[in-house]
Amino acid sequence: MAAWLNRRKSMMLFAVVGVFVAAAVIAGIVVLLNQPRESDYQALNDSQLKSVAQTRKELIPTLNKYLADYKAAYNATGSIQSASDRAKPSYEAFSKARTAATAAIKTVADNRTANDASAGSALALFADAHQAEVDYLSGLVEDYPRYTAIFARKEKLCSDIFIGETSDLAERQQKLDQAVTDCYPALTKLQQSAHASYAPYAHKAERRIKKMQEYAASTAKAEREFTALTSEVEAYQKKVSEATARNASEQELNKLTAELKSVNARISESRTGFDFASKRYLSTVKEMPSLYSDVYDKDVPAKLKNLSKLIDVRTQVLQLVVDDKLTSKGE
Amino acid sequence: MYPDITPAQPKRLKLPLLMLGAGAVVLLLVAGWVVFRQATTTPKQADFAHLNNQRVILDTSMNAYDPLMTDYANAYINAYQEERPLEETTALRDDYRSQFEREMQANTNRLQQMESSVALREPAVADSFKTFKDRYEAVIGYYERYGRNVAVVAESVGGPCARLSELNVAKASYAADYVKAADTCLTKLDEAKKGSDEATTSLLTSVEKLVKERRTKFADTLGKDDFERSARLMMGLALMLGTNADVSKAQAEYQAKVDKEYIRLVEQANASNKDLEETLQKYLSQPTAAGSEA
Repeated sequence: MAAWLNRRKSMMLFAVVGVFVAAAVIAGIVVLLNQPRESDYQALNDSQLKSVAQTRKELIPTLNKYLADYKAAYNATGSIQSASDRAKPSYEAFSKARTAATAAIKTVADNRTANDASAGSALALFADAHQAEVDYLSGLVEDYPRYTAIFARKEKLCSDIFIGETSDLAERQQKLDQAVTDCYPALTKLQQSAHASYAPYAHKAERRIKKMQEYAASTAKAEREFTALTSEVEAYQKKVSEATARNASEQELNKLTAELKSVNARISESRTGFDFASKRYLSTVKEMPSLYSDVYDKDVPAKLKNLSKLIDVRTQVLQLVVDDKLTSKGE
Repeated sequence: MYPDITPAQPKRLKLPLLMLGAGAVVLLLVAGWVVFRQATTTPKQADFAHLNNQRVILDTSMNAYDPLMTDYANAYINAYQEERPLEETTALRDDYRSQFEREMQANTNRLQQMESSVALREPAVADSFKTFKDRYEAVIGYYERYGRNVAVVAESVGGPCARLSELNVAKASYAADYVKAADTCLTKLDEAKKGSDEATTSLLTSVEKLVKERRTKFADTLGKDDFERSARLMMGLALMLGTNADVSKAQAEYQAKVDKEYIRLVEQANASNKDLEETLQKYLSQPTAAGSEA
């Protein structure tokens, strides 16, 4: 009985050690298989990095062509649907360029050198910087119809926030409140794109339009108050002259002038509120068009330049790493 | 019965134990051989060449900080100026933080790899490398601090303190509005000072001083009668005229200080880079030294 038990024990131990050894051997084989070889660095050097650079070159020209074609088509047809249809060939050209660029980046990212301690991080940073640019450009294209629609007169999304002459400020406020009903949802959609240039613009625009509504409300309120207060002043002035005419007591006169003074103080308070709001309303209206055009005039070029700078550094570093590996291996 | 069983026990256990023992011995031998080789090999030309390549790689990769920092500073300051909700600014900050973390990791890893180079067995190379490492680490540290400073300034000066200039000066309640907004700003500045370096703290302190001065003047007008109130209000407003000039002076001083520190660190790093390059070149240009052995 005891002998049998001991035999089992030793067999168990044997099995456990065997499993460990087998696992170690398999792990070793896996590690060896994933170990980058010279041919992997050679592939990066000879074709894979060049293919990323070449496919990248296609992105900006196809993007510009799509933006120009879409804009021209929209101006000609005045409809988002027809413009998208007409610009479809150039959209597809961009889309093809994007697929090719992403595939080239993925080939580099999947290169076995990713498992090397020093080359791995250079490779991942290279791939990420390139992919970030592709994503940014892709977002510019995908949400371009949404962006251009914001102030397009035919779409009537936000274009009506620029209110012309009105008979009074109450009417201006009312018109503005109507004009924003389609504007805010359109801006929210653009915000949801989470695009690095469109989304911050849409937030800025929304914030400013909300401020415009506040200012319009304060000016309309001041206008109402002003009418009421001026008639109040007139009534007091009448009372004062009446009281003077009938030789009223000094006490009564003093009371009346004090009340008149407080009405005048309220007028000037209301007046300063009005001045502040109307000035800010005007400057916000003036700011809106440049805020919109700055997206493509300033922000996009600056972002592209920054993305490019980073890509240049990542490319130089990876190339240096590959060169170093190839020279030290070939020694 | 006993003699039959007892010898059987160790016999059956022997094989696995033997395997374990043999494995351990092999491992020890391999490790010993590696250590022995490491300790006895003299650096070859290839080692100097490899270290030189790593030097160029590290120096090149430092250029990535500029576009990363620009992007971060623009996005973060803009988010505060536009009063974006806290979860958005936090997400933005965490995203950039992990990017900087990754950048720092890549650069410090490279420095560590360089440190384990056989080429450092040459005392002149080891000397040059030590300075090189210290100075590059200083630049890496600078960028890390810069990232934190951007956050701190955006969160205080770019956020609640910027609201101070948006109040309606002509309003009768201006003094009260100012005092209220100034208190929020001062609390933020106080928090910000805790998380910033010396130069940034001094910038925040100058802004704090300006805001406090005005806050006191405006607080004085509260609860006073009309005449005294307007007289004191005028004093407060007179101080306001100087605000922009004072703030830009503080900003210019800060910029000058930061630029000076940055330029100094970069110049020192560049000098150490050049020195390491020259040292390595000496070993690279004499192929007979140890290069033939391999």
